[in-house]
Amino acid sequence: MLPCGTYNATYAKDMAIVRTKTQWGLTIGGLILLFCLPLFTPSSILSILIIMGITIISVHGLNILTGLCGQLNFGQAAFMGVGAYTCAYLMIQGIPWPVALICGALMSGLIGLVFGLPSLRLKGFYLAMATIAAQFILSYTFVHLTKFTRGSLGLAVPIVHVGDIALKSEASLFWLIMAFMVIMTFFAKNIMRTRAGRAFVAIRDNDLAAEILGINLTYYKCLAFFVCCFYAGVAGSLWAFYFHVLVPEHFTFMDSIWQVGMLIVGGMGSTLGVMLGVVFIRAISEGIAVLSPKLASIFPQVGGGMGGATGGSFFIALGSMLFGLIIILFLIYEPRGLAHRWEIFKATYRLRPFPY
Amino acid sequence: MELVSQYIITGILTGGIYALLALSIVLVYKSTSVINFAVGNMAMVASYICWSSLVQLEFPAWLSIPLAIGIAALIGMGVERLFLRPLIGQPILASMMVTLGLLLFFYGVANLVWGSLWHPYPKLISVEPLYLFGVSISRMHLLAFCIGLALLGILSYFFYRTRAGLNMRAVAEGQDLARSAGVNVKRVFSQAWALAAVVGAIAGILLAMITTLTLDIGELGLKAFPVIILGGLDSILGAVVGGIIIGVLENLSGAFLDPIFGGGVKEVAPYAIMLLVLLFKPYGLFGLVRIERI
Repeated sequence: MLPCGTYNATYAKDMAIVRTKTQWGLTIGGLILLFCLPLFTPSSILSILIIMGITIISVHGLNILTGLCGQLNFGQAAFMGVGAYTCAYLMIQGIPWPVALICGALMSGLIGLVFGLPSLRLKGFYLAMATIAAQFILSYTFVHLTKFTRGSLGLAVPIVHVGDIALKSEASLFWLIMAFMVIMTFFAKNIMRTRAGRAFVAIRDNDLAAEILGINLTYYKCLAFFVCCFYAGVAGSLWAFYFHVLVPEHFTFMDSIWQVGMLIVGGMGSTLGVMLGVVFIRAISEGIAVLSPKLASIFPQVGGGMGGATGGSFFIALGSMLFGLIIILFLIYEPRGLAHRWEIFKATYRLRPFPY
Repeated sequence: MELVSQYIITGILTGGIYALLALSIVLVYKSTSVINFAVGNMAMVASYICWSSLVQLEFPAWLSIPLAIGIAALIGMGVERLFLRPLIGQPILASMMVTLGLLLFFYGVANLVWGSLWHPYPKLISVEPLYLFGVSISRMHLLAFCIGLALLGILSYFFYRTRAGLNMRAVAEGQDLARSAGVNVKRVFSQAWALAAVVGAIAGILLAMITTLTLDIGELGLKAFPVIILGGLDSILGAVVGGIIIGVLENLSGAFLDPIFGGGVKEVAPYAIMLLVLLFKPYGLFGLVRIERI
């Protein structure tokens, strides 16, 4: 529903995302606020926001593949790892970071394409299994291809330089990563409005019917996998910039499930939903991280009562338990996610004081 | 040569346990068309319950094991009633994500209640290996394998000779048809989950006895997926045959490829095999090929 007094007088107006002056004001103000945050926010909060930003990029990719094109991917974290390791390896060889980032993303996209090939024949559960296989095989590669990844010892990543400035502080990396987040969100939002985006949606709704309409299934399914893993590669490269050390434990099967879960909680097929889902889940997870040392001291017998529970193990246990429950409850009670709730809220607000 | 036969025998026996886990998935899939990703973690919870009752409460084994299996069956029925029944008719991603959520949930619960440290499991039978024609066989593995075969027999009898089994097969064939023929579909769903949870619990307890009791048992449960892909998603025989094949291939690849790739091939070989099967014969050895119409 459009805000009061807004009409689609031209096609350009019909297509526009930002419609009213208020929306323009909020958009620009929001962006300015986002980029001013490091000036007055402590670095602990910045680091949470940076991780949220990186995850948003990766989940955007997942949204294009799963939410738009309907193909499943339970290996997104591993594809992030491919991007991260490729980018880090190239940077160690002395290649400037923008080139390394693009190479990392392309590499991740190509690997994704290879593992996405079964999608031409497989659907649903079988495709999910192929991506889970990709996750485990890639994880194995990260650990055992020690020549490139140094395995579980960890691969040190050089510091990123923009011009002569070394991006060492949290704030400077925040600007870089948020800039990428905004650009990638812009593209993700607009992919839905292109020919490819409409083809993806047709394939999601019924791929046989889409093929009969003249959509080239092979091309578009491969494209969806490529874009998804490209996003994962960008996210992985940024991850490498931020963490400075890469270990295979950063890119596990659990992380892949978390990303799909964030997509579901946010609402599939919606760019806004991706952001809401990531922020919601990360915020809860940070809340548990703050609370768990206190809870662990209140309930020392929890965790087997063997030497008492520590904050860390309490965090992992409570985090995965709550996250599992949240996913299940969302699937049962609000399968369209937080984005749908936001739409309902917007409609109610615009119609006020009338109920419908 | 002796070494090779040793690997093959160990592989067959390990495959018995994978077959049990796979059986648990197939049982649920056959009647409810839900893929249970949480099978490993449900098995893990059952084996923790059994451990608690054996070691912490000091109950005898003849009481603890049936107790754990009974609780597992209740958990299975509860999961079906609370989390999967509301999702009947939803797309496949929904039910898959619910079981993945359950995987995380049970992992968290086990971590919260029993901790992330490993526990030694009491040895109920002798750990001395048997020697047969110069090949050493672990008694525990052999027991697990025999239980697997016995369960295969019992389940075949159940499915082809009892009324409840007939109902389950009818529901697997078509839910609406079964309902119109007077089958109580909801009850069949809950029976299927209970049965699957029991099979999973047995696998979990055996697995914990063979290795040690840790949270990693849940992750091992994922290895049942290459098995069902190879054997066919809806075939009980396929689960057993697939389990044995995966067990053998895993052991052999571990033995011969480890020196080339620098260790750990055993962990990833089942998934590589699964990927190949998916590419060339996606419905597995005994699975039903589905044809889609608009």
